[in-house]
Amino acid sequence: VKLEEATLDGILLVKVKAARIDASVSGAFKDSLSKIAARSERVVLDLSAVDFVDSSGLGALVAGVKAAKVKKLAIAGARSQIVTLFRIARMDKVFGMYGSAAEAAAGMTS
Amino acid sequence: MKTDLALTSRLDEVGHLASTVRSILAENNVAFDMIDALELALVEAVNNVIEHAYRMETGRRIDVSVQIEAREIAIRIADTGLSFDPHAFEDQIAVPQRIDDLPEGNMGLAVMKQLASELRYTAGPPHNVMTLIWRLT
Repeated sequence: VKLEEATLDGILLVKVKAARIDASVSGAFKDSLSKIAARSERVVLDLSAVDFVDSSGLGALVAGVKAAKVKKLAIAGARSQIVTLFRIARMDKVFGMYGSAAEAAAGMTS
Repeated sequence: MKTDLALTSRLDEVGHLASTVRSILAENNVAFDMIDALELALVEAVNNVIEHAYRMETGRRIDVSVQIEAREIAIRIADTGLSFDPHAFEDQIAVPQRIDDLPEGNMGLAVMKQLASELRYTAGPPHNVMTLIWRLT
């Protein structure tokens, strides 16, 4: 799973460049995310290029940010199916959910 | 209208199955948000078969049927692996407070229960059959 990184006001922006984060790639996704996310305690994960996430992908996301010791995570650009999964898993209560990476970064600094 | 499909127990085959089922549902004019829900629940069910019923053993058969009727859509997933008790799992995932409290797994069945109108499960042998039903109102 390819991840692209940038920084904005000290916040690490990580864009997932894959159509699906599912059980077939969850281990690789967790490893890649934990390495990149370890560079900052505040991370925005941009899912605007992702079509589908299953609970294995969501579990890998959680495992990755836990391993990286991320203190604050926001999700940007998730399509409705992915937002539904986050809501069912109650993870929208812990992660901020935003329309875009810029909105997520602004929400994290306000 | 009923369509029968089959795949072998490999996680990298599940995406192809999901794509095929999405096409079938779209051709039958199923609403887009319902297609999203059906896809997610189907993927969770098949992942569970591969990971738990077949314990990641490759080459085992999984049969999937998609039945679209005027009042409901039913997806059946059949395997010949280990069975389980779906009532032994919580219907909802606990509300987390912090990142460190979040679950990293075992969410699939709760996701299926939340997405479908009804979930039925009959244990084998010979076949374990999970049926996910969406009522169309």
